[in-house]
Amino acid sequence: MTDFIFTVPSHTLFIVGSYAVAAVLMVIEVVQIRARHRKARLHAVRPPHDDEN
Amino acid sequence: MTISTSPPTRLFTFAAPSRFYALTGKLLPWLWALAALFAAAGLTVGFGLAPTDATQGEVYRIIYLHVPAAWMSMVLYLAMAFWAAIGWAFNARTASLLARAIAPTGAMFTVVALWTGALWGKPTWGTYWVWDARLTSEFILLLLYLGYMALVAAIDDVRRADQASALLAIVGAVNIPIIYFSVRWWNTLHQGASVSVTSSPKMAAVMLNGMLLMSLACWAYAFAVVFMRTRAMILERERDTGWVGALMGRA
Repeated sequence: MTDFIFTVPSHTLFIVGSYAVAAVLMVIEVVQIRARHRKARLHAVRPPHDDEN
Repeated sequence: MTISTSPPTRLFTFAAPSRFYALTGKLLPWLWALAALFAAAGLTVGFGLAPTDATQGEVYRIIYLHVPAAWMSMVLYLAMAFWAAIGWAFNARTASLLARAIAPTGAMFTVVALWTGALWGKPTWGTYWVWDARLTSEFILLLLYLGYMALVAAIDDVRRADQASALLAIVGAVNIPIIYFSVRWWNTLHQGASVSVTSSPKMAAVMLNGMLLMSLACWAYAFAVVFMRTRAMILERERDTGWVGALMGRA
């Protein structure tokens, strides 16, 4: 196993910055889609125009 | 509605929104499991087993994210253009929905490729950004994704939006070979391809394995989020139909 304590601190920052930003973007994407799907399901259970009937 | 079980399976029947929704719903847990499994394996190999690079030191480990993200950005664009063209040519609703669903994920992978490339470029090249052919063409890819999404959002009529955006997606596909071959056609600061289908890889096997495992994780992730987004879009469009009513237990 390699040593996880990298010898150049700035390199650690670049690596962490790369993976952290990607992880955050992916989490945002999934949360946004889940919210959209939940909203679509709610509207499908009771369509908005039901109130007019 | 009855589903024929007699062989051969008629694949095009899965283009029906109701069947697509049901099938992808069953696939999603497996895709998420595969994404987690491949990501865990790829990160273990990349950070635990692969040695430090002789010239770049530790910072080269960005490769396990940068290269898969760059590959995904190009492959997803081609997939988006393909489904947009199919939707346009055959007036296939689900194909056009797939194209719409792919675009944000492709844009996300393009941003990740550009971002990780910038953070890798600073310690190795001494700069975050240069306007060389590879970087510029990848940036144009991001603009194409954003343009596609803006065009879809700007036109209220669904069919016209699908047609106009399909044209943009198809024309923009010419950028993909430009990105891929840019490091051969022009003298670029960006290095040449380390992995090619026509020649043996120019990197250690353990590094290559880590990169391929992370690529598989990105593939599984992309399939999962694209299917999730398509399912949400199907529900939005089809909420007044009988099959959605039956699915939701509506009277």
